[in-house]
Amino acid sequence: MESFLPGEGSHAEDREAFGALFDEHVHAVFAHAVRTTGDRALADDVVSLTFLEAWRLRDKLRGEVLHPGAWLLGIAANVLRNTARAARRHRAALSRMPPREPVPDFAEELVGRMADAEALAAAVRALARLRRGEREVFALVVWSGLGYAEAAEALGVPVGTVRSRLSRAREKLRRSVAAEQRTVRSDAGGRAAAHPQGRQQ
Amino acid sequence: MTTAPGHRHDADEQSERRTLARLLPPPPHAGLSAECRHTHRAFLLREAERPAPSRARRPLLVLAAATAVAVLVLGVNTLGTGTPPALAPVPPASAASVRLLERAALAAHADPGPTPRGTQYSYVRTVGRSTSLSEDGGTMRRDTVSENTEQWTAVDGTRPGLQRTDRGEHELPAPGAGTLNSPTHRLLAALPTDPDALLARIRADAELNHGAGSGSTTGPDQEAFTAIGDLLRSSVAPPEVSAALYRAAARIPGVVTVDDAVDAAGRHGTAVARVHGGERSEWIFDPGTLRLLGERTVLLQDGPWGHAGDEVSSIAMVTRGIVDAPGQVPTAGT
Repeated sequence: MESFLPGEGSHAEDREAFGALFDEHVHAVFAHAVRTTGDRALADDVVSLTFLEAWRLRDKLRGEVLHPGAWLLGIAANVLRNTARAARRHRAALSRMPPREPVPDFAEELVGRMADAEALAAAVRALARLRRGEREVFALVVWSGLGYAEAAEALGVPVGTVRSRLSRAREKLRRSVAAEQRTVRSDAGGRAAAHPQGRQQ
Repeated sequence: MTTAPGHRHDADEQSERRTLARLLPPPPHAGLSAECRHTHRAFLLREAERPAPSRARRPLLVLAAATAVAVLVLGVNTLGTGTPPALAPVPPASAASVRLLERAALAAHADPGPTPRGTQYSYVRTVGRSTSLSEDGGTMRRDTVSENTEQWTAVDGTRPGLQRTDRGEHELPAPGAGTLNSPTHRLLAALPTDPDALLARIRADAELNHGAGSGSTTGPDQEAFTAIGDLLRSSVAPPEVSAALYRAAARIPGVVTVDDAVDAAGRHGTAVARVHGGERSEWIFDPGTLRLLGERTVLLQDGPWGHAGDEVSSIAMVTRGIVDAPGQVPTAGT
């Protein structure tokens, strides 16, 4: 695979390549962040931090990185593991970030969005039953479509680890799906099944 | 990357992926709006245009006085890390800081603390602020951002947590086993209580968290100091683990003491600190009880963030303990 940036790129060429990298992968990075956190505002920050990190580490794109998309998702996974630390590293840049535009709420769109938000929250809850390592591999391979080798490269783990985490994830998800079906059948009234621990005291 | 080329994946891979996607399909989401995308893109390209801050010079100046000692520890300091060595060799923790940290460790030991059940929650409340910088019609404006936070984390990590800040309240996903970056009480209780083993574990984790060689400029020593500070400040650890964390910090090169420091709640104390990148991070202790009061970062030279001596962040620990449910606070003070 050709390296992503030219050998001794000028700063201007690097920036142009960075813009192209952003255009190609921003949706994948945002999708990964929003699906694993269920939080659009947080996912928005993760996008900024991921690309700020990518720019800081851009020398790696001159050969070391085989799959820029996988590499970016690996950075996003690191940012998600410790957002506070990433934010500290880019504190100056974040303070220059323009404020977020409020989302316009056209009624029709809003209804669709609320249904989406519910499905999203349910998926995040299901994902939360996995260990962090399993979650990361699951989201990268199953939801973002990375190959095992790409996911391994992104997370800096052996391919065998990717495979074993996925199979553990499969067993856990199977068990929880089965358990949920039992709950639904035995509980025809339909109490909200997997609602997390109530907050009222 | 949603369209990863298929030819690289063998049949097993494909069938496993399909099975998994049936069990938990990718949830729908509205995507990033075109407007958001443009804002992000313009912001990132502006950032890419800025000259990279030259970090190499300032720390060298700061550390110049220590060079004589530093040469002696060069060998020790560059061993066993995957990241490039820090900018200059750093002397071992000062004798005064080792003494202070040992006293803090003994104080931690002496305080038995609660023994939580798996179904309970760790509670930590911190107050404080940090500085933000924004461009305002060509001039730089400094603002203060609140860092007031309350957080509940399930002791055994199996249930979601809760975080309350000035911006509101939101649920945190169940941490599972937890990591050193977002620890559960259970994870903390399983950490080694031998300071060398604990420091090795924290260093290994810092490497791991930087992923496939992120080329961090922070360096392993500062990473370890920051990681230990985060653990001490934001979690409820068993006494023997807190003690081991203090003793592990005493093994990090470059740790010094500061006679008088004041935390975000206005409490004065004595601090251990580490200088990095023109800033000094301090852990402030009550001079009598040697209990950790808070943490702050002070500028050592004038710059866009402020003048030498200004705080860029300061966070004080107000309350921590064990409670039965998210939203509850401990009845007695810490």
